[in-house]
Amino acid sequence: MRRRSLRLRLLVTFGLGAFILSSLFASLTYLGVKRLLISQQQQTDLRQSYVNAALVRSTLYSSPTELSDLLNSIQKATASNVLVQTHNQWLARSNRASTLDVSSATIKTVASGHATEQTLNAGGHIIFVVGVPIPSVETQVFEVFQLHNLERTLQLLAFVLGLGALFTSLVGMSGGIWVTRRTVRPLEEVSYAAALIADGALTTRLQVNRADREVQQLTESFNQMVSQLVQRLERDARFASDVSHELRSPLTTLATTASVLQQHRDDLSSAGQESLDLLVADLSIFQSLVEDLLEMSRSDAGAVPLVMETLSAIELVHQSVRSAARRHGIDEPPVEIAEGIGDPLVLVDRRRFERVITNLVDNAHRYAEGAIALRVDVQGRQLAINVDDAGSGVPGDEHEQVFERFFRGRAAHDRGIARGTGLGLALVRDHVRAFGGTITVSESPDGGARFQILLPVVQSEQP
Amino acid sequence: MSRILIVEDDDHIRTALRLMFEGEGFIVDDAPTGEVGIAMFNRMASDMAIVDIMLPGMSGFETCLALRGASDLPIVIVSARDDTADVVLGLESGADDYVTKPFVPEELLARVRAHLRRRPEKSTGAFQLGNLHVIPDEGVVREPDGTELHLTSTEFRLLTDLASNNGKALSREELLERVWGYDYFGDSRLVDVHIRRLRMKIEPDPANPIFLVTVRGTGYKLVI
Amino acid sequence: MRRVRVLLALFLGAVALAGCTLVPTSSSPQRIQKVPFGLLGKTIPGTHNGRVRFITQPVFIVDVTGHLSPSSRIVPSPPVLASVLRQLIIGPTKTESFAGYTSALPKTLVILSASFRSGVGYVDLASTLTKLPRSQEVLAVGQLVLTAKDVGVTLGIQLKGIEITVAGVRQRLPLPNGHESNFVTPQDFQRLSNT
Repeated sequence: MRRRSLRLRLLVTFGLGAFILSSLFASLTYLGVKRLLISQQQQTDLRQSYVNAALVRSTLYSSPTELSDLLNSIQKATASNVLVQTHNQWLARSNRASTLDVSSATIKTVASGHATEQTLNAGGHIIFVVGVPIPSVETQVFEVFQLHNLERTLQLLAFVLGLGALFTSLVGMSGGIWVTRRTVRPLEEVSYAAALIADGALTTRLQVNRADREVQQLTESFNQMVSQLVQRLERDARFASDVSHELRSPLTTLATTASVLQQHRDDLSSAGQESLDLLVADLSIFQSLVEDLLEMSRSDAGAVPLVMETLSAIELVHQSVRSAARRHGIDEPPVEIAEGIGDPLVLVDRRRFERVITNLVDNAHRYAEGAIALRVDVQGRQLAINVDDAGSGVPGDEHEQVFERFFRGRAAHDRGIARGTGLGLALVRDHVRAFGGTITVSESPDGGARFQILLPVVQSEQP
Repeated sequence: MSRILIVEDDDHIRTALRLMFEGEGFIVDDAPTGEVGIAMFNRMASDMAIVDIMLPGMSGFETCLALRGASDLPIVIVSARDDTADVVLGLESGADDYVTKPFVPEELLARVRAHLRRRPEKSTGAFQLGNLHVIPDEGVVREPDGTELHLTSTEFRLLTDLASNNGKALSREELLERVWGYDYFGDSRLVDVHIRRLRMKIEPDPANPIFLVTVRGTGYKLVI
Repeated sequence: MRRVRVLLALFLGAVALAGCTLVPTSSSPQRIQKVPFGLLGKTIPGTHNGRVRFITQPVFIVDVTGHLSPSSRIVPSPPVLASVLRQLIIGPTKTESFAGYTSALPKTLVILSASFRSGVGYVDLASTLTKLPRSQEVLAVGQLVLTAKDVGVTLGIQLKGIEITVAGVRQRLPLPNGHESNFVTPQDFQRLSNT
């Protein structure tokens, strides 16, 4: 089903509607007026013809010599031509009269004793020919009226009405545009706000105080819905955070007592020792999980605001790598700084940044034979930090999923022993996004996976 | 045999800690509240203290202050939160270090050992810092009118370490190693907070330091 | 979509109705039923006269070149010689005068009687023509005889000639060739006409 644009539909309806209605109105008006004008003209002309015929009759009877003068004076007064015929011979006619205007059919009918009228086209001009027989003087009077005045009037009328229809259509269309904007724009605003909210800008609200009642209602309902949703989200996040928080103390006890047991390991039987080993191993995983969950839920709930500082990216990377290596007891991967990038600064929360690097290095160690190198470069106005590992890379279809919470890709399943929480990369992405950056995974030049962080550079200092 | 004071209100954790440290050869005095802890310290003169921040009654911060007021012993605070604010407050109260729950017990052990290890003082002669007179051998900083500025041993060690480097900058990692003795578990925040505390004490205008200067890209240096 | 099509059709229909030609024409004359003023009546209102016929009858006046030229006058049918001659006396119309036509006959001339008898026209005038200059008198007589001739033609009479009397007294009439005669024929004056 093809979706049509509401905006377009409204506009077309308005524009077309206005056009059609105004055209209809114009046409009907024109028709009515035309009919009226023509019939009026005809009435007037007919009446004039009768009067003139009577005049002809009386003139013929009293002083036939004055007939020509009469006809000429009629022509002068009314611009219509009069012709008088008797016994098939033209008796007299006004100066500009042309016998061609009177058709033989008219002559024949009038001669047979019937008065006639006809509107016809004579050589491009419309004329109205009236024929009146006067049997008492054995003559036939024909009067020829020029209708070009009428024609011109009708033309003018048609033009004016047409112009009026066009103007009305334009007004209608602009009215349509106005209405469309008023009704469609709020809808667009709502969908835009909804998109923003879906993207994570949870403080987005629609502007209140609109002129139209329905739009106001929509705005208020929408805002209310969003607020409630956000509240619920926050509640959920706080719940997760609270739960994780409560786990701290028992975990501390568990860890410490496990250590104590380790101290007295020799007192245990072999079964006991094996169990202790398993306990200690899973305990550490449990601890990591709780730590990760805590961190995640804290950032979700916005409980701990970031402490953003402008720091030297290179120094930060070095520190983080060192810290990561020491924390996990692994060799420090080399840090390669690209030539000539100076000392770019980034705006980040130091601890979270360290966490990001730590997680990536740890991830490389766990699933991909360790990180080959961390390569730092500047691309345009962005700082790129590439963590390249020695593994077999991330399969193409997992490039997006790998950053999702609790996602265990094929690599994790392949290595049955090393188990992670599934939250590491998700945390990395959350933090990177909080810094206004992006993280993607692709293939590294060495064949393994490359995790690339892009962060906006604040200011660059040349060495 | 080192004597260690543990102030922790959670019974289980306190017991587990006691067992662990005793297993490592320490003599442990454990107290459930701050008041009891201070009383114990006064009687036993512990070599080191581990204090939980969340205590009923007298708070961990107050306990820290009291202990610090009485002695120079290394104090490690334990916190359930990782907030920078909490950490800073704890360090400002006189603690030398902090860990967050849940901690890795081995880490705590290593830190405690590191703190107890007396690091050989670098023999530095007395020097002037503006109008302050610093005498490392006596561990004293004197103002022109003779009053002594009170610095914790950690702060003093930090100052003298930087001084002995002849105006060259030291990175945070290096400072952590030299002053706190950590190879592994250092958090550079420790360094930053201590530097700030030092500045508050010795700089004429702490906001614009002239002695303890930040070197971007490296760390800190002391300008004499 | 369908709605739009319907509206469009309506619209086009309206435009078509308005028509391309502005005033409708008809191919043949329409009969009118009622005509006022009793125009179709058999008699002229106020009289008992009906079926009065008119014809055009030429009268001879003088053109710019001095020749005798016929001009139509509407007269009742059948033409009466005296009436036609009286029309002649009235002279050229205004239009004809503007065009340069004149009449040699004085407008004050009164015709007492005029009739045909055995192919001869007898015209009795109230006053004489001799007072006119000779050339004008010739033209005047010519006007009379040629006009009478055509009246005779309409009536089916072959005019031999005319005799003019003034109050019964026979007149000697001038001829174009310079002679005189009591009896003038149309042939005598033929060369003065431009027909």
